[in-house]
Amino acid sequence: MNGYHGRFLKVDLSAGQTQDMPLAENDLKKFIGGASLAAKLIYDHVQSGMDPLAPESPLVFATGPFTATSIPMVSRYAVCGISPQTGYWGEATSGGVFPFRLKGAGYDGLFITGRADKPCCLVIDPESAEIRDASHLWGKDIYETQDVLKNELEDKGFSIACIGVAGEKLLTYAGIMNDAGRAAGRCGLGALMGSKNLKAIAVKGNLRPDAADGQKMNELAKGAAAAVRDNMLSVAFREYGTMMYMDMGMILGDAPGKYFTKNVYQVEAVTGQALRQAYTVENYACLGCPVGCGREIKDFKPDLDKVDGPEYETAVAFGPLCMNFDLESIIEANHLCNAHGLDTISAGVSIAYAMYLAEQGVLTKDKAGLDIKWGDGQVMLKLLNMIINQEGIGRVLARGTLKMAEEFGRDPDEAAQVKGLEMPMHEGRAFHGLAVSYATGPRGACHLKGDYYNIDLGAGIAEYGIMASERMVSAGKGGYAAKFQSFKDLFDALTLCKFAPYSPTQISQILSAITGWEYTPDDLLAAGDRSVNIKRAISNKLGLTRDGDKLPKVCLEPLTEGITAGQSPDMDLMLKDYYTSRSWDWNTGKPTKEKLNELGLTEVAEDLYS
Amino acid sequence: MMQIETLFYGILADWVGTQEASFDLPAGSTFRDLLTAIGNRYEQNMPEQLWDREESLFKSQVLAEGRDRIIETPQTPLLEGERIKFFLMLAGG
Repeated sequence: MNGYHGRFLKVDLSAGQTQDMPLAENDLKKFIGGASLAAKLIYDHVQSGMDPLAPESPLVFATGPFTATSIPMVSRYAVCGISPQTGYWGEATSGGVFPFRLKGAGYDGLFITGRADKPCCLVIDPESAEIRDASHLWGKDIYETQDVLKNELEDKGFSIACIGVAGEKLLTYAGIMNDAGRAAGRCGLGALMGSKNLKAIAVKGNLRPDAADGQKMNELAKGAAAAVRDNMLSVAFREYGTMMYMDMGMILGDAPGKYFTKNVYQVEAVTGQALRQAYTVENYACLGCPVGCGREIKDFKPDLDKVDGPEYETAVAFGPLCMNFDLESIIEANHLCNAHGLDTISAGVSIAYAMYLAEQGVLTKDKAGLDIKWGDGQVMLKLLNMIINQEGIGRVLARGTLKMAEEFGRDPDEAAQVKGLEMPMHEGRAFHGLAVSYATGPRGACHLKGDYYNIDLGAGIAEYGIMASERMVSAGKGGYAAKFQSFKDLFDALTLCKFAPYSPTQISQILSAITGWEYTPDDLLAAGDRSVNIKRAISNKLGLTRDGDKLPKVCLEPLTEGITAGQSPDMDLMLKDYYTSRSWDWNTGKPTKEKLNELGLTEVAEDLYS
Repeated sequence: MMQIETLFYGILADWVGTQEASFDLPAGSTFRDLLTAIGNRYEQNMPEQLWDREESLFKSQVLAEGRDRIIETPQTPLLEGERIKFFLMLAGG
């Protein structure tokens, strides 16, 4: 089979067994790989009312056909399962070396069920797959875990993904970390890994499936490299990281402040330029990536000679969203989250909500155990430590904004989340197409499955007719948002970086050259559509209805200043347009039976409508 | 002669090499004339992915916001004393 090994490693941690899990060629053709293939594999295991942390709840790591090829910006993997944070479909992706090594070990992915009776780790290479004791790693942070395990394995060829203390303690927004501080942060999949007593996965190898037409693939790789080289965004990310957008985001009204109640503030101290001026900053690149958008900060503190730098999402969440413009505390918050394996977005939003509640007189000093004020970076760090250590008020903040609202007797519309997943750091009031993407995203509020701000800033997808329009207009956005969401969902099937500036034609040619199966741009879009729909069907099985497709009031109420003053997306209008475009049933929130059949999801249609 | 003030925001300021600049242009000048003047003064600073040296204009999506208007074409006549803000239309992260 070209482009794939044609097998996952199936791991039953309860039984302590591993075995090959062959993949059906037809599934690979239809679902391609990554998160989409994971959805196909997970669908059959999902039962209505299933506890995400139950032993039988699967945890899937998946690469795609692009992984470990000569195409730039492809060293990514997807982690999927039922989200402990939302109770619905959950997925997160990360880059680094780990995806190359996982595929290099001879597997397209891992399908993990069960629960080990004591902490364990998986050690996988082309010759063997072992479940080993990891009791001595339990309680260690992710950097130490990786260092200790690498030393024990006495082989620098291993790459490691692991959980920190947050995952061990089943914190609802715990992530999975790999290759030092790279994060598959969202949806609480670190808690799912922790529930299995699985501390770490070490992978090694250089096995690469053949491409159907290697010469063609290499030619296309050159074209892809040229597209990256000529792309302004790539240049900007290389120089300043994703924080290059901090000031532009504020100017456009896209970067939220003060828990989504403000978008005008003094941003200068927390930009990508400010980071470079204040610290010695080096680039971090995933394997084979010419961009290197990641940041590493040297000589941060006497006891921390190197830390991973914050990304845009993290910098806004711990920065303007908390009205904190102290760069050092933002970097330290990012480091704490990385070290203990925590999603920076959900952590930052939860802390910002605590500050909002303190201002409202709800979270008093007596109740919180400390005086919580906007902009106090030191208090922010204390709260973060309390979350990680599950101390005092930290136990409530650790459950996310929806549970916080419930705990404090507040209106749930005050909780900045969709389906329980905290809002990312782009504003639906600044880009209405993004608002409907947030409401309907497969995993909850997600800026990566439909980064509509890029469309309305001029980076349209001409081949699909998705073009820039007035960004603060709702009419006509729902259908385009659905189409764009399908296209971007596909990136996590291919395991292609979201920043890769490749056209649908380029992607379909590359996929055809690698697999030997002919894909057109329309086939790609259909695959993305299929992927979104099977993920939706999983969430429907777990109880999701149209009621879950909404933005909270706190993210919709018009602001009083800045370029987006007075703006509020017309969610009803866009949702109806979206539902029509997707052929989803307005009453049940499910894909229609006809739509599922049209996408070749006949068994899903029968199951969902049985 | 007419005086035009320009303001460059965000990383665009880093790449142009200044946050603000003033240009004296002949009366009746267009946006194209301003771009030419910007190129003459700053093109050596700008990355090739940003500035088209042959055409003397921005290659990337750059928004030019003038006095109560978005300037969309090079032929647009400039207004005396107009302040034009330039934004690089890139998002991400």
